[in-house]
Amino acid sequence: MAPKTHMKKNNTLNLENKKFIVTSLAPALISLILITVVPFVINIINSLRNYYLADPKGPTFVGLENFKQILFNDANFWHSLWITLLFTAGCILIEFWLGLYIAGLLSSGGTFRNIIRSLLILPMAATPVAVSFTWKIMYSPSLGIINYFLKLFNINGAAWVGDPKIALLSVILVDVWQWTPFMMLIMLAGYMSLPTEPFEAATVDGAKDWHIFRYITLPLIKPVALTALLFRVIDSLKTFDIIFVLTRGGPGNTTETLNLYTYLKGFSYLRIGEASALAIIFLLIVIAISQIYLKYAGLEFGGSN
Amino acid sequence: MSLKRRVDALAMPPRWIFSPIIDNYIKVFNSQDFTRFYFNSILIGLFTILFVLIIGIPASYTLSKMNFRGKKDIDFWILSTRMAPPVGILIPYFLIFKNLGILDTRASIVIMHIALNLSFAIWVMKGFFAEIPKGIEEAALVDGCSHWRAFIRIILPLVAPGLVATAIIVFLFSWNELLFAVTLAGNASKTVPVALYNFVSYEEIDWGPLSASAMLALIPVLVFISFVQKQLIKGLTLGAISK
Repeated sequence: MAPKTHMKKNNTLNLENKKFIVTSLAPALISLILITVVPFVINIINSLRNYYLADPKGPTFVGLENFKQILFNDANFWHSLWITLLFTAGCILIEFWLGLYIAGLLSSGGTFRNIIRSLLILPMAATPVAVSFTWKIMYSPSLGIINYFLKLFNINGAAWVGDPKIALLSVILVDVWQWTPFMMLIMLAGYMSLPTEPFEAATVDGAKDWHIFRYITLPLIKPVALTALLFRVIDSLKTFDIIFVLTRGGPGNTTETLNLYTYLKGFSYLRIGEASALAIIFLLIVIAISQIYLKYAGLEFGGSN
Repeated sequence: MSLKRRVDALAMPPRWIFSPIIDNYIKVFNSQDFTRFYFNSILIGLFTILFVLIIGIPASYTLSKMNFRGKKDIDFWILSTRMAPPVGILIPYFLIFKNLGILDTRASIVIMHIALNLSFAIWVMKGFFAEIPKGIEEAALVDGCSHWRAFIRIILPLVAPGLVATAIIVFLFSWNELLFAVTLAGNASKTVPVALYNFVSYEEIDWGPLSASAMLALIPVLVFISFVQKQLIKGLTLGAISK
């Protein structure tokens, strides 16, 4: 008798559980479909149309014409892709090494660690428009503090965001200021969870600092660092705010990333068809880059450690 | 800069010592518009929090604590939404809102901010739920509570600090967001970042009041950072990675 009632209780529990799982997930899953699947389908439909928002006659079906146009006839697209890759590579390389270096310094010195750590959230949390605007003042050739200081050392300042040759670099610097702390905080957490034994053993063996770093620290911190890098890569491919405020893609189109190009195509030139096609190509590029990265880095996306 | 008079602000070399004035702040506050943009931003942020939490909390709990078929796929799906370029969501929704005639409403911006934050918030909250020991909810269930009751009465209070931190991160994202707001907002629903952006893009820039409004935009950020920095660091960094 006893096992039977137990089973009955289990069954009602199971049914209860199922009901709970379904009801708790349903709102979120419906929302996620509305966020991901629905826009994607609409984008595909619109990308197959000649859709000029200001045209009173409305959209017409053109097949793959928009994609052909973009891939084979549009120098601006390839240019913006190149700028996107340059921007991402520049940001990631500087942020990674700088973050790793500062995290290493902080992990040994304990007194100021907590103060510095809380100061470092500010760049990440601050309103990007306000941040970019502050940099815009600092970069200004006539009002800017940067050129003023350079002049004190008898260096002639530059036009920074106004100079086609260094505009991209100037934008990258702002991104570095904003996101190096993110890298740093994650690597710091990585450093603090490292075991101490390998380091003691290496010191006893008389290993040089550089060798300890290269052969012990780096491999141990690798999993954390690789995940942090992946998120930064995805996010910098999609950077919008700081470029939009600092240069709006200019001067010329020297800082026009794919994201900005898609945006301007859609909302300045109102070419919805081409912009939708660009958005799809953009998505495929992000997925491709992440997949290559994951394969190369040997990570499993979504896998928990 | 925001405390300088116009002559001081434009002086070269920069004047470090100047007579500070609060005129710029008064000017910003007196302009009816800026208080309205501030109000818009706060309202949009609060409604975004409300919906993201109501939709996200139960899902993140289930994904963190329950075992069922297809769980891994849902996890992967939620994570991979991060890859989607926001502009690809913006274009279709801009068209939908245009057809519905709700461009330039706060509601349209709230909907987009929910879309931006939901999967991130679910991911961060999963981390907080994972820290609850397994025995607690089982005890509650054996006592004959229904699952939903046990969840609301017993589990939620335990993760309250994590939920507050998540709410603050969501609010900050919404408060800072430019891309969706600048596209959807007209004069009626303009948020603080959009107002700032419009300031910058004008031909002649009045640096003083602009700096003052930039500072005002940063005030909520500073307040929140000082209150909950520990959970904030966790949410913004490790919470973003994996749990």
